[in-house]
Amino acid sequence: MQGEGDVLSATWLSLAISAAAVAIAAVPGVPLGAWLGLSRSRWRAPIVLAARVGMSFPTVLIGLLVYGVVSRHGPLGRFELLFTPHAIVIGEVLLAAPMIVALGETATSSLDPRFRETVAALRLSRARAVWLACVERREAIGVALFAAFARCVTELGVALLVGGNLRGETRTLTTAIALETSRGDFDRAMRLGWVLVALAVGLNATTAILQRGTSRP
Amino acid sequence: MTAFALTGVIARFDDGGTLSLADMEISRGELVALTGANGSGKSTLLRVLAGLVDSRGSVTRGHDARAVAFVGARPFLFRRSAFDNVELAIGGIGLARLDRRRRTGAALSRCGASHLAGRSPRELSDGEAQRVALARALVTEPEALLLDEPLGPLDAEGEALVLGLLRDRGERTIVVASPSADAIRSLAPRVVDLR
Repeated sequence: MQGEGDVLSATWLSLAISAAAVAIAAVPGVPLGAWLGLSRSRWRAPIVLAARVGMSFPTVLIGLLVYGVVSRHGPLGRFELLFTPHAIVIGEVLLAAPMIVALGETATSSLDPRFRETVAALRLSRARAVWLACVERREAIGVALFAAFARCVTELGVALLVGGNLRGETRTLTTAIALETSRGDFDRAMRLGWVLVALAVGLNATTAILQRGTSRP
Repeated sequence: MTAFALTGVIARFDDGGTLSLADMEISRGELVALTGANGSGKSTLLRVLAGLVDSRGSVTRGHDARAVAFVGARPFLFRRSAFDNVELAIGGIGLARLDRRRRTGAALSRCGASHLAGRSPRELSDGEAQRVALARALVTEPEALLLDEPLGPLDAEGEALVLGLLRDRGERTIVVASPSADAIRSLAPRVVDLR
């Protein structure tokens, strides 16, 4: 890292990649989580278990998996995604999706029992029920999205392994910190760390504000 | 013609509990009041008739499932305006938006709830929520109406409205559960006491 421009670039890239990953993961993740929360299907328990396990999966292992998929000899090798922001987005989608599914399931499974009965009494379609459940628990789902975003912004394993830490291209805040530390510039690494802390505080404050809304009956 | 018939029915709840229900046959267009102490199975019976509770035994429903409306004792309203709550019930039947809005307005008006149209559920009293829930049931123009303790939270005007609904039921089958059905009993040709 050389100047403030690099810090801004790394910050912007971290935010943009994480936002893209969460947005992509949310498309199947939010409805799937809401459906699981309402469902009595026999698939519910194994899917929820898988999502919860996925939440705690080490980021470096996900990075390794994505590396294998996007590297030259991997199934997606011909797209030349390795060491591009797209590869980091793919990895972070895999980080975010289980969290969105698991927290979305928790949010909708705690809905008032009368919700399910009313949906059944009105003969609403499953898709409609899932949509209504998402609206009913929108603050809790917002919390899930912010939590997933926070995990993506602060992760290192995926960004380092499949991003390659290329200055101005794939260098995120966390990989920049790792680089400065390896160079022995501890002060600079700490300054970047404070930027990350400021982001984390901002995200957590937003999550806390959203969570206040989830305590409604 | 039979609207509902129960023979040897045992209701099964999510928690594994069961409840045996009395055998019963209700004809189309009939008004039946279910009375009995708390826990006698009035609400469960209504839920079985509405197909909202799993059951064993023989349940015959003479009405199409879409033509049966159920209003619980503590109705649930979604986090949207009262108007949208009512309109939601006819959202999937292929009506044009203008027709949906007209029918919704008419149902709210019939239940004395036109002034509540723009309010969210948080802004409604229990009695007002009950009126909106009744409108949501009526907007579908059901052939059969299942009401669980509908008079509970209602004021005198609301009670008169429900009793008017029972009185002017036309061809509609109505089954009402009520612990003290004095007002309803006077209107219902048939009262079933569940003990």
